[in-house]
Amino acid sequence: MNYSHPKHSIFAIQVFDQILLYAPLHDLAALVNRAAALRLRDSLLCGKNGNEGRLGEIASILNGEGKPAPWPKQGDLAPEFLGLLPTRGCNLACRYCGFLTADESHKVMDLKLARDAVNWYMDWVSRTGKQRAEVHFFGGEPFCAGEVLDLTVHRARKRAREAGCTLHFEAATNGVYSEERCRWAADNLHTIVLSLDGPADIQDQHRPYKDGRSSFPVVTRSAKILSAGAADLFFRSCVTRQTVDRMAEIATWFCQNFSPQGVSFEPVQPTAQSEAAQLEPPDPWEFARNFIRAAWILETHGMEAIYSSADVHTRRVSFCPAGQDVVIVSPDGTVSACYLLQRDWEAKGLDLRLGRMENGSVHLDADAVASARSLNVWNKPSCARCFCKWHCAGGCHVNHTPANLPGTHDRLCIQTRAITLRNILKAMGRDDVAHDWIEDREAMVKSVLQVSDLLLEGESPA
Amino acid sequence: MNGPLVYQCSPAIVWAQDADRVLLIDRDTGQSWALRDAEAMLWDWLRGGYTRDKMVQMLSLACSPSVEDAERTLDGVLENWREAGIIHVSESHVLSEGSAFGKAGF
Repeated sequence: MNYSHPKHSIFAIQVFDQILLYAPLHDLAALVNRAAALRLRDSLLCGKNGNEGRLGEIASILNGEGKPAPWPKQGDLAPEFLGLLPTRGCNLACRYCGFLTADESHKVMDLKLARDAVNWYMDWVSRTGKQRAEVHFFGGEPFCAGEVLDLTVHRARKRAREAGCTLHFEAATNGVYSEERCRWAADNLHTIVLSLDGPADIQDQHRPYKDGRSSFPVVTRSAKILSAGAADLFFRSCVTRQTVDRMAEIATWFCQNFSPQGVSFEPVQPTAQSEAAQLEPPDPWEFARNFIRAAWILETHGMEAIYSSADVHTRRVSFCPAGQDVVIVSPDGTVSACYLLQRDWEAKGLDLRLGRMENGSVHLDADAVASARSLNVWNKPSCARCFCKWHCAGGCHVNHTPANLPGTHDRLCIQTRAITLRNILKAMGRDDVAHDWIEDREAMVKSVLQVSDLLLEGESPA
Repeated sequence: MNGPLVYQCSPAIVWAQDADRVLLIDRDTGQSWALRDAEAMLWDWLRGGYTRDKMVQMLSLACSPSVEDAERTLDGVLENWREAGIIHVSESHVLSEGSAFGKAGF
């Protein structure tokens, strides 16, 4: 089947005794009864609209062209942003972190390499006339190599002024630094993603210093400074089987003490370290249910609840930097499409290196760029019939391997599908349905475990 | 034995980062300054407690002058700030553990 036609992005998901029609390429979502869904399916199959009233309007929209399906980038490399890894080192010893034992954890990016990376990227921005440049800092903990940030920020600003474009800095950080450094971050960065797992007992169980000391006081001090600053602040809270029941409590605590724009809850990614610490991924149903409960609390306080693969406002073919032509420079000069550890890609049979920085320039391998672009949802057959495919896009290429069998939903699929469904209902103004839905396990299972969501496929909708 | 030079922000100076510039105001006189480019960089790095050698290296990398040009720029900016009363310079006989650049008055 040719899945590129927008008609093959029209989905039908059972929600109680209703059908959620979801057509992301037509910007349409509607709750209809089963008879209406069958009539709409027939209308699509014959290409004629024999319906009247509201149903006729829906049929007209669905029979329309819709937006083109998202497509992988083609042509010359066009990075969405420049990613820098100032160091893989860190001042914490998070009990689930797989970066701790990385061979390269002691390396710090040479300042000249950082300058050259910025120059290369800003040359590209100038050449292509882009109006906005973005530099993202990843780690380890990027502030453990603060010199790299201090140089990069100023060099990039100078180049952006010369190019006449705006400039956006983003960093993922653990918040473990001095008050002075924290104020610098608040003053100079535009988006800060602060890892803070929750109240003291959770934070200290998950994210202690290397000597076992509590990181809670300094991280919460940073969270307060950043809350009062101009940068857009997001918290990232890692959830385990042990803390999944406390997500609403964590959300409440965030709301009472800080002012982030949003909170991203992510389940712990199993690593040798997390397993040794007996920090296991949460049950996906419990994670989804508690995420939604936490979302209601956050949203009441004007904060956004984020689950990265369930963003219904995006239409994408790749979940992560790998499909966006992002160029990520490591301390040793390796240029790659992913900020995770090379050993982790290799363990999944992937090579995400794009080239190297040498002699002040990026030397890209065209085949490697093509290979990175091929990591997209079009090449994940088990996602073809899933209503989340243009949002989740199959998830992380390294940490999520969708099953080959269509309709086989693993742990990550289950929570993504449940949270995405709720996010669609919320966008429709029908969160009331989600309230009832998450309290009814049987209804959730029926919706989430559908083998195919395609309206046109199968004997009957849902 | 002489210690390192310590640059201290004058108590009357208040400052704020505003996008890519730094705004300074002398609370006593009302005089103000907008620091851009190399001046904004150097203010930021003094705030971060960098040594003279490191600032020279970073200025050279950020603005692409020679090391000698970067040294001249650094010395010129610091002298201008000293003359304007924005900073005080003293000689320390004890190595400062933290930033040598106080945020007095902020």
